[in-house]
Amino acid sequence: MVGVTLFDWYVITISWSIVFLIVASIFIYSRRRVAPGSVRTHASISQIIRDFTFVWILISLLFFYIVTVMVVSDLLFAAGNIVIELLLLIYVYRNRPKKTSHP
Amino acid sequence: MKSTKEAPITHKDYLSIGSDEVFNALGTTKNGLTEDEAEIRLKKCGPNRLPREGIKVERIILRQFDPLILILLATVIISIFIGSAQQAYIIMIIIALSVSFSFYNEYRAGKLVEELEKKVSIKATVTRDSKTKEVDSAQIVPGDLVSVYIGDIVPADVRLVEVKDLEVDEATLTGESFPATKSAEALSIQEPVAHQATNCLFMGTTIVRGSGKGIVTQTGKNTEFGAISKSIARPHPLTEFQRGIKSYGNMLIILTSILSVSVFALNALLGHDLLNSLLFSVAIAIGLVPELMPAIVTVALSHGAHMMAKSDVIVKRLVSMEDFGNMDVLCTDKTGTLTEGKIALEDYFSLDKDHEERTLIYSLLCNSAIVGDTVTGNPMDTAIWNYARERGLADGVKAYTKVDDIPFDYQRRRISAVVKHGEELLFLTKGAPESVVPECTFYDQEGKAAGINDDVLATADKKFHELSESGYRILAIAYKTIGTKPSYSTSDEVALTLLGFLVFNDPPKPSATAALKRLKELGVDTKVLTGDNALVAKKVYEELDIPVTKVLDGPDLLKLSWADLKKAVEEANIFARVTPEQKLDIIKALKENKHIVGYMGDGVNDAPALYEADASISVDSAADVSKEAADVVLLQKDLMVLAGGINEGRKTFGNTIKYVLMGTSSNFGNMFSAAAASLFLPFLPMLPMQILFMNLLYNVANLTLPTDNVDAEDARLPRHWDIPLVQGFTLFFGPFSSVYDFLTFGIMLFIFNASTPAHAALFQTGWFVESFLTEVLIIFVIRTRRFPFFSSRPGKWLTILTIGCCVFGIILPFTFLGGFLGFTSLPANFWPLVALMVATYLLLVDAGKVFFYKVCGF
Repeated sequence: MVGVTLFDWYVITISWSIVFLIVASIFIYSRRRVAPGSVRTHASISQIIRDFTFVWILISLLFFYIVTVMVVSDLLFAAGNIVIELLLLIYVYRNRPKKTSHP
Repeated sequence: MKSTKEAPITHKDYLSIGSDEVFNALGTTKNGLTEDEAEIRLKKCGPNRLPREGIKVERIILRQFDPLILILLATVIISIFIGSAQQAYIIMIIIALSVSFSFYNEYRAGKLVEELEKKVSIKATVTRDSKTKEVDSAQIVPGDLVSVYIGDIVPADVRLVEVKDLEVDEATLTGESFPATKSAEALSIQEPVAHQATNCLFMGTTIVRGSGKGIVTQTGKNTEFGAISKSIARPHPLTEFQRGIKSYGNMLIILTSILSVSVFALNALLGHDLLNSLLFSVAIAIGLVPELMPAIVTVALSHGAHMMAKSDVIVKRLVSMEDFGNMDVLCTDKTGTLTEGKIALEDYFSLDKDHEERTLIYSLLCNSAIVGDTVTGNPMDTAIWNYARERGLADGVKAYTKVDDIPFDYQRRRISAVVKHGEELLFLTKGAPESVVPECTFYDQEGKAAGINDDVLATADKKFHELSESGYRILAIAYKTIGTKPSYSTSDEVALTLLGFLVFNDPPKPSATAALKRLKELGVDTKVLTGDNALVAKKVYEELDIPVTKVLDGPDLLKLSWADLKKAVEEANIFARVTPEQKLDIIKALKENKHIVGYMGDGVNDAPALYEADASISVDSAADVSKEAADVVLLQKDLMVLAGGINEGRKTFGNTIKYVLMGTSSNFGNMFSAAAASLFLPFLPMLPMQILFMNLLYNVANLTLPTDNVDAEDARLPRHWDIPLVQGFTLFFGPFSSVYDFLTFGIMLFIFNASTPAHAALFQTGWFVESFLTEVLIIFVIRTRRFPFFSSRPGKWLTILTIGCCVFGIILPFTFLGGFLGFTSLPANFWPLVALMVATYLLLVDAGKVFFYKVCGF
């Protein structure tokens, strides 16, 4: 298309998909379920910030994926991915259920 | 039967002739056919079963050609003439492979179900060579002398020669809801319709009262039922599971239609080649539509049914597995579930003497057991015969001749018989003490009838309570002398002389405690609905160390309003002395309380409750009518077997849901990315044949999903088709793979400079590899709610096939086949990058699960 480069397309599509994910996260969070018998309470600002850790990860990813493709560095891309993977692993491990019971 | 050719064609030919003539006409006698003759007739007439619908190969083949495949085929044929013939041929080969693959799996699953159905057979009582025995109803031949009792499904068309208070539910044939009364008399009606043929029984109808004997006139497809069975067949209503799958499929079809039509229109507007654009948009549509869904669901259900069959649980209707797995209340009887089900006569006594011989002899005479070399039939009547035979006491009956009998029914709860002893005619009645004792005005005192009084009744009642509290089941036996009459009826069951009691023991089953605990762990509350009195049921619970929350008996229930009943069914776990109607009410009340109710029963009186329950379970030894009403049949009456079946049902449901969740995540994202990329790239991001090939490989990888392990916590509690979960999952997890597709586009365009049509193959190969690996490997993340995902162990075959498909996808570009499909070799530094991207993608989706399941509570 006139005036739009392939890089622009790349930035638009990847941004669009990550923004869509963020909006979907907010939508799902607004409809979050509570355990049977419990009452939903208003979360504090600090709780919301903590609950949205995943969204902060997404925003960081978007920034990282745009920059690495812009500077065209496969080394930077590889190193950045390893760092992200470590962060994701820490996030998942910190949130894992304390005990998985087996019958 | 003189010969098959001479044999009359229908039951109508036997209506107007007497019983003796019927025997002659069908070449049989009152001793029944000989075994040899029965065998000859079986060879001549074939087995007594209706031609089954069976697996229709052509139908399964036709099902594979959905409209999308047909559009694709049409486009391919056009492109052979005006476009690229090579690509068209390759697409045709891929379609052929996909269709064959899907066909094979559906066919194999159908065959498996057929095999399972054969394990549940209906029995018939037949007299051959003067011996009465039970045979598989498929072995019945014209001329066989068959006996029918309450609860039996009539095995063939029969001309009656003997009846006793016989009433038959012929609704399946005539639509008439009131039972038809039958007789053995000859009729003078010409060309009668079924409901007028009162001296005939018809295949598929049910005996609701009394008993009868008759000669089989027609079997299999020659019966009245065989003639109309096709026209009266009605499909079952859709289950919640089927409705969920259907609405999910419809949602994807709408999304697919919008996406593929938009892609074609936009590509055409941008001036891309029309034929290629059409092929591309149809290929995207095929990639999106879960065309393997019917096969996966069928394979998952049949795999589950196969696994359940290994635990002696036969699923008659595959789709009922979901309700079976999801039940949260199980209503069951006591005999054989909480007790061993091996009822034995322990003792018998009259009011003034232990081991009073007449008590035993009268009980043998007033008895419904089928007595041959072995004794079968009603468990308590069988127990009396076994006791007498083992002790050499059965010969006492030889001094008596049976004149008549009045069969048992659930309203009277007793059975009667008329016997001749010398010149004396005796009327005998046996049944539950509370139904026999009120009809007694005398009691037996040293062989003579004495007027019954409050002291005698109090003594009898005390004894009855003591024995019941000790867990024994009691029957009372009474008699009177009676004059000769043309026939005897229930109105004669008055002014009896109470003779004595029979004491039965059915010991508690030690494994029942563990089974109930296991059911509790599975989130299933067990409630016992028994015809026995409350004292016996409570004693069994005590011996098994199971807490009794509340006991309600039939008379208690009568006093409750509907609202009170709804409350009471939640509190009580023992319902004693309940009638079939009360069982039905209990189930209805539980259903109104939003429970998914399972009912396990094996008696004639259980059929209405089985029809009402969400999950109906019977046992192989059950009355025909109960087996017919049930969706699931247990080959062993054991609650532990049932618990195993519930667990397997939940696994099946869980694995089917995994496929649904897979389809909404990576698959959808990939096709969406392909559509978006086609708009800005100067070439197609993936060729139609490459999309179709990827789809084929993806389907192969998914096929072992039904065999996957299900996490223990997922099978622990009942689960339902959760539409908000599926919608939320689609919305949230759908875009993840698009992010990584667009990232791959960026890598291929800017790091590997594949931005011109000359480098299209490099771009397409790079994206194929990334897209395929992420699409297939994501199953390991999505298949479990646990995080990190590798804390849940996937099934062996799923792991092998998925990894195998990934290896194939990686080496494909380097092979001859890869070249044929338009792929090219990828540079060495692509591989570490794609490995990192795939790893990040899997971990990101795992982190997404933390947000979705833990933070948002789905």
